[in-house]
Amino acid sequence: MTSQEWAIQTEHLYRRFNDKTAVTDLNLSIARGEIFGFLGPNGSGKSTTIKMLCGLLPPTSGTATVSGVNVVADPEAVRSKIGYMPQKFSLYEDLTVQENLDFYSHLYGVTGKAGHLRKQEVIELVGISRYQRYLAKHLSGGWKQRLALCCALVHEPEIIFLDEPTASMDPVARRELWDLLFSLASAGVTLFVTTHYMDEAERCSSVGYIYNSRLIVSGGPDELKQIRQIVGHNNQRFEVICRPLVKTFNIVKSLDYVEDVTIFGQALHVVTQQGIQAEQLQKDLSASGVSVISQRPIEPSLEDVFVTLTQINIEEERRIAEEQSLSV
Amino acid sequence: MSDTAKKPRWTWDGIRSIFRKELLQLMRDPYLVAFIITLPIIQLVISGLAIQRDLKHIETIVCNYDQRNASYDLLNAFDNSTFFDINDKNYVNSDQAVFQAIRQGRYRVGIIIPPDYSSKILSGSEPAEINVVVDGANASIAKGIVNAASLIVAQESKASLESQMLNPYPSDSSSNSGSTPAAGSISLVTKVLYNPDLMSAYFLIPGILAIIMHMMTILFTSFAIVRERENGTLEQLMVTPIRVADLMIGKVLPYAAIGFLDMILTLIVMVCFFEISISGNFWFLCGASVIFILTSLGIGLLISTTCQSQVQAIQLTMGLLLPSLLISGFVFPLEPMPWFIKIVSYSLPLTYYLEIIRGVVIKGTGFMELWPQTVLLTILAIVLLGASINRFKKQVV
Ligand SMILES: Nc1ncnc2c1ncn2[C@@H]1O[C@H](COP(=O)(O)OP(=O)(O)OP(=O)(O)O)[C@@H](O)[C@H]1O
Ligand SMILES: [Mg+2]
Repeated sequence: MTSQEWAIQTEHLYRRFNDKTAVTDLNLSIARGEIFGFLGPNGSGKSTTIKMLCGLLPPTSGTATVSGVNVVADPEAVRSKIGYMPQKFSLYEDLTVQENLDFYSHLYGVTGKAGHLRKQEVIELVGISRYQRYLAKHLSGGWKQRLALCCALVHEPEIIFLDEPTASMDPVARRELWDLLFSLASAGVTLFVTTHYMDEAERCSSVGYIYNSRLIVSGGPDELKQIRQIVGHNNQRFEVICRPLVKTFNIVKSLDYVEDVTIFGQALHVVTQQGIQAEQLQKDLSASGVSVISQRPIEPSLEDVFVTLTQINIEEERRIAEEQSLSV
Repeated sequence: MSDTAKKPRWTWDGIRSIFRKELLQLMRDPYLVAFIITLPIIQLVISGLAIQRDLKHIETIVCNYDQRNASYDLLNAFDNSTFFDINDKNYVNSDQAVFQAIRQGRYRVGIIIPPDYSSKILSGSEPAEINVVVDGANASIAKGIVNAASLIVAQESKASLESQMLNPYPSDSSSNSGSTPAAGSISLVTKVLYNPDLMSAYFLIPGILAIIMHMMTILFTSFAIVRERENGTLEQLMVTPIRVADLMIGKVLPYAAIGFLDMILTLIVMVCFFEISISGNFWFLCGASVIFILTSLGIGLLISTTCQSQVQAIQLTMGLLLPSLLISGFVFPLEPMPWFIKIVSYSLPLTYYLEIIRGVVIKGTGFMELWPQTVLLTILAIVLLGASINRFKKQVV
């Protein structure tokens, strides 16, 4: 692809705060019309990345191109092409929904008759019309988020950055928001979304996982489940439905060929060493007096992918640190 | 690239949308607006009252070495005036006792009549001296006391002279009384303890007005921007195509209007409430005040570019303002200061405005005399406003 086809592209992007590095050597390429899910633990550098891409925060080094504009050199030029919805509600609490929207559409030059129509359209799209006269401070968290989305959408941006948009939303609102994001993406809008929810990550067309300021992996969700470290590392994954759950959890954990076990609702996800057969696990569980209702081999989930990669990363860092301390 | 080069630095549209939003927010909070408008007036009235207290029935300590009728006539004149009260218990035997009582703060004023007072009044050969000692701790009160005392002494002196005119040849007097015009007059010798260079309320109140308006305008301007940074709303504003100049001008305009309104109101309070008349041209003073408010807006904006919170803005404002009070000529005269302090003094807008407001109010001077200060104040306003817009990067951290 040429650089014109990438909506967002970064090269060796760094950001330091005093002695802390918030983003280390970030290289990202996101195609137009994609929904890019950006995941990572608290403080891993997601918001910092978004702020740099929006031209709010100058990077310490590296370049970032957003919608064909070098945001490091000319942050002004990208403003009208992007929408930004910050993690924290950042509209005027003492203005009404309508007044906030009017103000922002005016700033973006969405005025006149066309502007009025566009505002109506956005209000319908987000479904906030019955709250139009409310002061923003009287809205609940989820509705505040939707108001923020309205203001970020009103000028029909090519790219929208959403920093944890669903953080305070109920499940229905979350589903509605994602439906909205899909319809925007199908209209060619690129979406850069941070989230902590794995189910949201599974719905993205591509995801990136940032850990401790480093992008560990990025790609399509299905692609990631096939990568060598995941498949090669733990090639046996079972879902075990059984009674009693917690007791079985402890039994499974004590088995020496089990690498990891997690409770998922009514089931256990068990990761075993290479070459362990399903029959072996079933036999050991029955011997311990557990009634196994069902057992089947499963694919790794995205969460499994991220957890595994994080562990590999931590081990690698520890190994490097040890090597360094030995050589000194 | 040519796209950005062609962009104007500011647009009416941008200023208007910010200004309208700011007005809307202010209208949502009418108490804040009332507070902003009345605070400088309240501050001026309180500090003005503190320095200009009612001068009536001040207990006066007396040492009368003379003890004859003429001296009691004079003391009665003091006692009968509304300013001084002399009771029997207020008499002491030595001038030392008078000084001590005033030093200890038991009395604000004392009168010492020398032993030869009556004989000088009667002979008319030379003016009869009396001493008035005042406590200078509060300059304006001391000044008021001295004024009242000289008024009474002048009246008594006149009465004494008139009585001599009626009887130009006193029985026991020498023959050349006609050739000494000061015969029978009283001269007042005042001694101020602690604070010999009196500064009056008259001198202080215009300065106080300047300082209050300076401080309030700086604070409210910096708050306007820093509040947005604190609430995170600035971040959302910064991703829009709004120009920095539009943002700052639009945000500051309502506060500029409030500042001008306050300036006029405080001037009215000064004239009507403290009865300090403006001897020079009122319109020139208004014009200079507008420029002074602009410099305060510039400083407020500069402060807002560096502060992350309103608390920081208050601290920085106070940290800058307190030293500038000391070196702007408000308290101490500028002439004796070392050259490097003078350089700082003459880069402060407050210094020039103090010279202008004191010149116009007290001395009655106008643009003809004060044009250098006015021009320099204007230059400072342009520099400060320009610098603050330049410093304000469209970046949040
Ligand atoms: N202005 C700043 N000054 C100093 N350090 C900062 C600043 N902003 C962020 N950091 C640090 O940079 C790191 C990354 O922060 P960032 O907000 O990007 O994390 P995040 O991934 O968005 O976390 P979360 O999921 O909690 O929102 C954190 O350790 C944070 O403390
Ligand atoms: Mg964040």
